[in-house]
Order: sequence, then structure tokens, then C-alpha cells
Amino acid sequence: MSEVLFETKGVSKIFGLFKAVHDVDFSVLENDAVGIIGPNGAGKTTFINILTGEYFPEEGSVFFRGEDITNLKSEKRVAKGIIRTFQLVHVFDSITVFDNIALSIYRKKEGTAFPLNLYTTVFRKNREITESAEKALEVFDLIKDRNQLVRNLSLGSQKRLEIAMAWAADPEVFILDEPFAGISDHEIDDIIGILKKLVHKKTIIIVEHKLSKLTEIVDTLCVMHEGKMIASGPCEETLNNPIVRKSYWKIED
Amino acid sequence: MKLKNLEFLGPVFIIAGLLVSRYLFPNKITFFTEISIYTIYVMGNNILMGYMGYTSFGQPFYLSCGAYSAAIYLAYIGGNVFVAIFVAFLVGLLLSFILGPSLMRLKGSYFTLINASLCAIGVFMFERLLIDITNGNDGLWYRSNMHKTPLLDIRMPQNYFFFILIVLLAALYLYRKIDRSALGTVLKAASTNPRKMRFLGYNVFRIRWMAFTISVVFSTIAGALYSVNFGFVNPSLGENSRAIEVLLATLIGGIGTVYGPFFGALGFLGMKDFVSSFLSRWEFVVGIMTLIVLFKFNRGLWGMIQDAGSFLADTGRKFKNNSVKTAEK
Amino acid sequence: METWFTAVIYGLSTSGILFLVSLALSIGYGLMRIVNMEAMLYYSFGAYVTYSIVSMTGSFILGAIGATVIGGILGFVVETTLLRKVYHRNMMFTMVVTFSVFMIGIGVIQFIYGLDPKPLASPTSAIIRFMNVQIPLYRLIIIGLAVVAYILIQLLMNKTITGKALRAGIENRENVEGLGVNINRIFTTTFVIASAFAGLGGALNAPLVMVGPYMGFDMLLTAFITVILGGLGSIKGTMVAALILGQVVSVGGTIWAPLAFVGPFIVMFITILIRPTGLYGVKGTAFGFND
Repeated sequence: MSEVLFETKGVSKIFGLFKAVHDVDFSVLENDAVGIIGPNGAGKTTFINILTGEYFPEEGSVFFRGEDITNLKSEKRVAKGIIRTFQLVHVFDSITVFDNIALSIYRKKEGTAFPLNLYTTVFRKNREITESAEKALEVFDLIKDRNQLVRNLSLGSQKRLEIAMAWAADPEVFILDEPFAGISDHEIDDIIGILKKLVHKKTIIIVEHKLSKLTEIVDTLCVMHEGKMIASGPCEETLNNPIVRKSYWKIED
Repeated sequence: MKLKNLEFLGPVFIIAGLLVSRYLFPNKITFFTEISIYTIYVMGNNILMGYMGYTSFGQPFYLSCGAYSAAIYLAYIGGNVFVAIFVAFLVGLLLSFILGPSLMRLKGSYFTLINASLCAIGVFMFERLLIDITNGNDGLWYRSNMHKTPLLDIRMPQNYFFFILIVLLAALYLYRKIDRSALGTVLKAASTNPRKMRFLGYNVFRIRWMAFTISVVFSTIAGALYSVNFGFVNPSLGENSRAIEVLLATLIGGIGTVYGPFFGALGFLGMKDFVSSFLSRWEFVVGIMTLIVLFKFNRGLWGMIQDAGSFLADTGRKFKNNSVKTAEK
Repeated sequence: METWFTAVIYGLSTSGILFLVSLALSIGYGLMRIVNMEAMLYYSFGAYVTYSIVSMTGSFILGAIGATVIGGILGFVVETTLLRKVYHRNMMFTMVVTFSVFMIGIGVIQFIYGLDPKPLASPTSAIIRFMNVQIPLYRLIIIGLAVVAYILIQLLMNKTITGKALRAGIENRENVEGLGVNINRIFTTTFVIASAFAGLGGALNAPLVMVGPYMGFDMLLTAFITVILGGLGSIKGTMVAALILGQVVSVGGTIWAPLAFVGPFIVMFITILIRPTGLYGVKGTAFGFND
């Protein structure tokens, strides 16, 4: 039986006079796949930033496995198994693909934000790291780019690499911020194929615009509008919810 | 393939090169000693500039702190040269311990400027505030206080050269390890995207502090080696206007590389040696050179050597393939 | 009592020079997002040109005018030939570039004038007596000129079209360019004005300090501290910061001599620790905080 993994109670984030996130209650069951949709400026990314510790909310609390993590720093949340990706792809473009993935694995392996054996570890010489990295490279079809500098990769490959980095860290929960933005349909299908293998094995939270693609993966859908979480529930049900139809689709019944 | 396996011998090649040059040009021995010390100094700066992406206009401050701590030890407390160098090492750790927490929280240009200020404060301190200890601009002389060292009497310039080579060899291997280890990768990653680094779960601040410590210690040790070499120090070692020299040397060598600092020191000091034979002050040349390197030459000497190497390897491979094909025919 | 009063007046004149010199840095960062270390060249060249003109003609006023013109011309040349090429590059790159230009300038000064510092007599030795305190007239002139400069630049920013376009351009460059305004020309104009003020600052400071090749270095850090304390791009902030630092140097130096040198650095460390954006800075526009 799955339990509640991630939960927020009444969180708000205010920028000056603007309430970007307004009193949001949200919960995710373990091994559930949740999509968060909403128009631009609805506060989706801000909400993700609260979940991952980029921002600390002015009001409300964030819980992870029942523990209050409202004021925990981002690097400590990673240690609890919360990994995110970014809307604008965030990878390290001056080092190789392999090193990017190795960084993620190494962090997981050492289990600390400041590993003391930094100086004595050589990624390429460490069997544990190379084996896990090879596996990640294979799953995400990056083998041939193994020793390329990331800046020479296409945007689609960089997106895949960013998800691969999250995957390689073997987290409890994946938080993906617009994983399909700015890449071709073909590349989107690749990523969906990979994500489908994770569904019901890991907890996944996806923020996305492309609804049609999203429903292929998620079971639960949440809708944000003007900083508020206006609906959540199974996909079909949410999409037919009159409030959602009114405020999101601008459909009057 | 074979070339790659020889890569770990790089530091040995450099030391051997210096050793051969020393016998080819026997009257240039002080020059080679200076190159070796300067390489260590440039390495310190390269950690900041090449790996962490921080430009410091205050490297002379760390250099002169190291030089003065060794000098003060030799002038007033004891005569053991090794202890003097160790004192500079400790001072480096102390400096980094005190300054690191605030400096490593700064971003970009604040870091540069605070370091420039440290440099000015350092000169002021050694020239005026501590004048009773440092003799101000007259400098501190202590060569006669230095004791004979066992095995190799490093008070003699020709012996000191060998001692420096040993230190340099160790420094090069340490440095090569930094480049290859997780530390080098983490630093480079954090300099391109510190935010992502935090979301991978790394404590960027502490890792940078650690690298800063290494950088400061390299600089203070270089300073101590200088002061032992010259037998005296004066405040001009830490002048603000000299901050650009080490930046230029780093750029000439090629930033963010293992052997860049050596070629940078070689290129920079070689040029200085050449230019100063017909110019007494040479800020002008340094400025022009920096601009040229920045705009036209940004991979540096080591980058050029690497390019030449891969070009040769490519042509070699083509040549080999061709000969194989002709043989098949 | 008299000592303190004198110290305050001397401090005000220091503030005047600081304000004139720092303006180029403040505008350079505030408008173009570059740390233009070479700004101190306009100051040093201003001082040297004043020295030359005074030794030729004996007129300090001509010297000061010449310094202002030279400052402006140098600013124009550097901005159009070099700075424009590096606006889009990263901060570190531009800092090293402008620092190199600064070094080249120092080299040029050394070629022309040599290494020895040149003394310059004060243009007027008149003394004003005020309640038992003797104040050199020259100090008061500096204060007066700085005030005039401040009023002029405020008028430029607030009352003219150029100033308005400029302020809009700082906030959103694309928008202003979209309106068909040639933002480069506006930047150049402002930069030239600021450089001219720096030249004037050099002229005014020449009789107070030794005119030497490294005088720009001594001023560079103090000017930067002024800009950091004031908040980048804020002209009012630069003025207030110059007032504070002038007193720190002058009154502080009267209390304990080394404070005249170390005082500004202490101010800077405190500023960066407590309020990195400076007194009047906008959040997010402090040095290096905009990444």
C-alpha cells in the first residue's frame, strides 16, 4: 500500500506584491506519477522551486515522508532523494557527457554534500562509477557521445542527458520541469519511452505544457491557475472538472 | 595510443627539460629557478581562474604573505629553511581559513575587487604598519641567518635549483591529480553552473573553499621559495600592479590545464627577460600582450602544443592508413 | 575643535574629487554592465595634461580645461574602439581587458613623462578665515565644482531626452532599441561626459598629490569603494558615498593616521557583508550578483 511521499500544506510564495504561489495544498503518493499543468505565469515553476528548496515559502510547510523539510537547503533535499531537472536545460557544458553523469552517481555513492575523498577519486578509474555511468549512458542512448563535451551536443541530447543525470542518482522522486520544451516530437517520444519504464517504480512529478504527451505518462493531474491549485485528481476527471474547463480552457458550460 | 600512456610522465619531461637547459645555458640558472617558482605561483592562480572561474587581482598579496612569513621566521626566529617554508604553508592555511568563508560567498567581480583591496592593504601593512619588523621599503635581509641544510646545502644557488626541481615535480603531480580527480571535475562543473551543482546535492561553497585553500597554499609556498631564493624581501613583491602579471602568465599558458602554468611561466618570464633588456618598465608590453592573448590566442601555449600534437597524430594516422591501403593493393 | 572643522572641510574636498572620478566607474557599470578599470587613466592623464599646460602657460584654468577635454577624448576613443566589443562578454573577461588597457596607459605615461613624480603648485594660496579656522580657498573651489558637476549630471539624467532614453535603456535595452533609439550613441555620449569629469578630477587633484604614473592605482580602489558603497549606476548613491568616504579618510585620518588609508577598505568590507547592493543600489544589480 502506497503512502504519502511528498506533501505541502498551505504554502505561499510572495515576490514583492505579487503572490506567485497562493496557499497550495498538494500531495503525492509513493510511486505515483503526477502532472502539473497550467498557463504561463500560473506559478508552476515557483512551486517546483519550493518543493526543491530553491525558494523557501513565506507561509505553509513542506513535508517529505512526513518530515518537515520546509527550511531544508536544496543540497540536503537531494540527499533525501529529491532530484529535479530544469526548464532551461541545466548541464555542465565544459566537461564531458560521462563526467556529467559521473558527478551525479558520485554524489549518490558518497552520500554527502562535501565528499572528503574528492581529491583521491578519479571518475574514470572508479569501477563502481564507470559501471553505473555506462548503464545510464546505454539507457539514455548516449553511448556514442560518451567522451564529447556537452556543449557539442544537440538540445535534445542535452535534455536526455539532464534526465539521465537525475536517473543515475537513483532518487526517490523525480521532479521534471518542462522536459519536452524546445525539442522535436521524435525526441519527446524517446524521453517518454524512458519515463514510461520508471512509472510506478519511482515517484514522478512533471510540469508540462504539452498535455497530450503528458497524459501518456501520468495518472494524476493537477491544475494551477494564478498561483492556486484549482484541481487535482485522475486525468479524465480533472480535465472534465468545470472549474478547470472555465479557468484553464476558457470553456463556459 | 602509446602517447596517451606516456601522459603520466609529463611532469618528468618538464623537470628533465629544465635540467637539460640548466646545463645548456649554465649562466641562466637563476632564470630557470625563477621559472620553476613562478610555475607554482601560476598554478595557484590557475586553480582560481581556470578551474573555478574566479579572476583575482590580489594574487601578489598571497605571494607576499608567504614570502614575508618565511622571511620573518628566518630573520627573527630560526634558521631552518624547511621550517620557513612550512611556516608559509601554515600561513597559507590560516589565510584561507580566515578569508575563505567571506571570499567564497562572493561572486564575480566582488571577488576580484576585494582581492585587489587585500593587495593594497598587504603592501600598506608590510611597508608602513609593520615597519619595525619588515624595515619597510628597505626590505628584510636574512641570508646570513640561514643554516646549512643536511644532504644538500640549498643556500647555494646551484643546489637550490635542484631543491626547487624536486618541489616542482611534486607540485606538478599534485596538480595533475587535481585535474583528473573528482575535485577538478566538480570545480569545472561548479564554475559553469553552480545552481545545477546545488541541485545535484553538492555543497559548492565548501568545495570552493577547499580549492581556494589549495590555491592560497600554492601561492604562499611560491612566496616562501622566492624569499629563500633571494635572501631578502621587500613590499614591491605584493604590488597591485603586478597582479596582472600572474593573470597574463596563466593566460599565456592556457587556462584550466595541467601544464599550462609551466608554459605560461616560461613564456611570460622569457618575454620579460627579453623585453627588459631594452625597456626598464614594461607595463605597456604586459598590457598589449594580455590583450593579444585574450582576443587572438585564448587557448594559450599549451593549447597550441596540444593542437600541434593532435595534428601530428592525425597526419600520422592518415599516413599509416595510406601505407596499409597501398600494402593491401 | 578647529582641527575637526578643518578635517571636515578637507574631507569634503576629497569627496568632491572622489565623486568626479567615480562617476565613470558608476556609469560604466550601471549602464554598460562592465567594470571599466581603465577609467582611472582619464584621471591620471588629466593630471599630467594639467601639469604640462601649467608648466607651459602657467594657467591652471587652461590646464583644467585641457584635462577635461583630454579625459573626454580618451573616453571616446576607448569606448568606441574597445569597450563596445566587450559589452556582451562575461564580467571577468572585460575586467581583465580594461585592466590591460589601464596598464598600457600607465606604460604610455611612463614613456612620455618618465617615472619621477611631478610636483604641481596649488593655483591659489589664498586662505579663507572662518571662525578662527584657516581654510585654503582651493579646497572650497573643488567642493564648488563637484557640486556643479553633480547638478549638471542630474539635470542631464532627469531633464533631457538623452537622459530619459538612457534610464530606460538601463532597464531594458531591447525595448529602447525597438523604439529606434540608437542606444550606442547615448552610451558613448554619457561615457564621454563621465570621462571628462574624471579628467577634471585629475586636474583638481594634481596640486594635492604628486602627479605620478601610479596615481591612478591609488585612486582606483578608492573610486571602486565609492561606487560599491553608493550602489551601482546610482549617481545620487555615488555622491553620498563620496561624502561618507571623504570624511572617513579625513576625519578618520585625524583620529588615527593609518585610517586614512585603511578606512575606505573597512567601509567596503562592511558594505559587502551587510548590504552588497550598496546604499542606493537596486537589488540584483550589485557587482557580480546578476548571474
